Amino acid sequence: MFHKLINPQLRNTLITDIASLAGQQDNDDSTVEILTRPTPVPAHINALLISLHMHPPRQADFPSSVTVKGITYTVASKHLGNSCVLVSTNKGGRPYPVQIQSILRVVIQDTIKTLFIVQRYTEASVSFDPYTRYPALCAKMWSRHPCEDLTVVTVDDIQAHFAACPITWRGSDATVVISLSREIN
Amino acid sequence: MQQEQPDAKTSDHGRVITADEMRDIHTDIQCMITPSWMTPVPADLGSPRHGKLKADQWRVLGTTYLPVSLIRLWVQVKQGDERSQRCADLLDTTLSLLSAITIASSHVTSPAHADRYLQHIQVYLDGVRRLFPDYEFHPNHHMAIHLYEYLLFYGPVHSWWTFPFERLIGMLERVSTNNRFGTLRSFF
Repeated sequence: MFHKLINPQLRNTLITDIASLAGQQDNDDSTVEILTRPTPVPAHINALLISLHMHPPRQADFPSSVTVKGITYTVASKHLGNSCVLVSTNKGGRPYPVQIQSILRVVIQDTIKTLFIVQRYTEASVSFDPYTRYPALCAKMWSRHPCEDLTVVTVDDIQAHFAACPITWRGSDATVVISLSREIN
Repeated sequence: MQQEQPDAKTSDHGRVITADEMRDIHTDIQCMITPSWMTPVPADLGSPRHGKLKADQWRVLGTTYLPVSLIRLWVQVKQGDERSQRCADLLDTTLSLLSAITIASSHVTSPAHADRYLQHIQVYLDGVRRLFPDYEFHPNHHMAIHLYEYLLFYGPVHSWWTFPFERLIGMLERVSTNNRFGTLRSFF
């Protein structure tokens, strides 16, 4: 019963409540200090890391999901909903939605770090976004699909999952993105 | 909900959303992409088949699904259309409540959060009084105003609300030995 109460996979708000209370000190994603299934890093990901001035690793783990503070993040091919996250790469910057395409666990300076290869949604091509009239809801229209370009974010960049609903607004296809963060600023 | 076009001035609660709008809401519920931890909402919302919604389902429905659908359906006011104007008023009032809920259930709070909560809940209550003049308020509406003070006194609600206990009580109720007095062997 206790396991049911604290099981992070429960479909309930309780999990985000527990995560906020219990996960305060559990913010390091490097709980396993060795690569479990090291695989050569594909050339296009190496090229991406180099373009972002990151040292390309020779090998990495490619898990399909990782759990951070009780919340599971997954690649889009495995679970689309778990792959949709809002990220902010600048501290205090406006978050933007991305879709996780790959997850890498790499050794950086003797520590294992998790990197997310993501595709970013772009601004919706609409002249008026009615969802921004209600800022407390943290909802906004973005492009219907993420763009093809890949970029890299870290665990620290991820703010929250988001819910996404495809809509047509005044003849334009868009996606309403609504933040599922439980921390409203 | 009703099948035909509702009267623009109707004040009976439950007679605002048309059948077409309800279909749109159902479609949005089915199309919504959500993470696996999020409480699911019945796809046939409004049907007696799914029974009563739990508190968390109401919260998720109100803060995630309904805003997406209602804003899309009701935000644009058609000139000279009385129902359209009323729906826009209903939208603003409803979203004041949903904004208040979102702020109140945030994991972080502050005097500024409490002020924003109070502002939204007052706009909501004023809106209900204006749009449904015959509606009789309940004690919970009064209680909702006091949440402002509780946010200031006790901090974020998840640290003091009783939903985890409600959940535990629900689990205990479902234990197979519950309510079976006199039918089980005593070990004392």
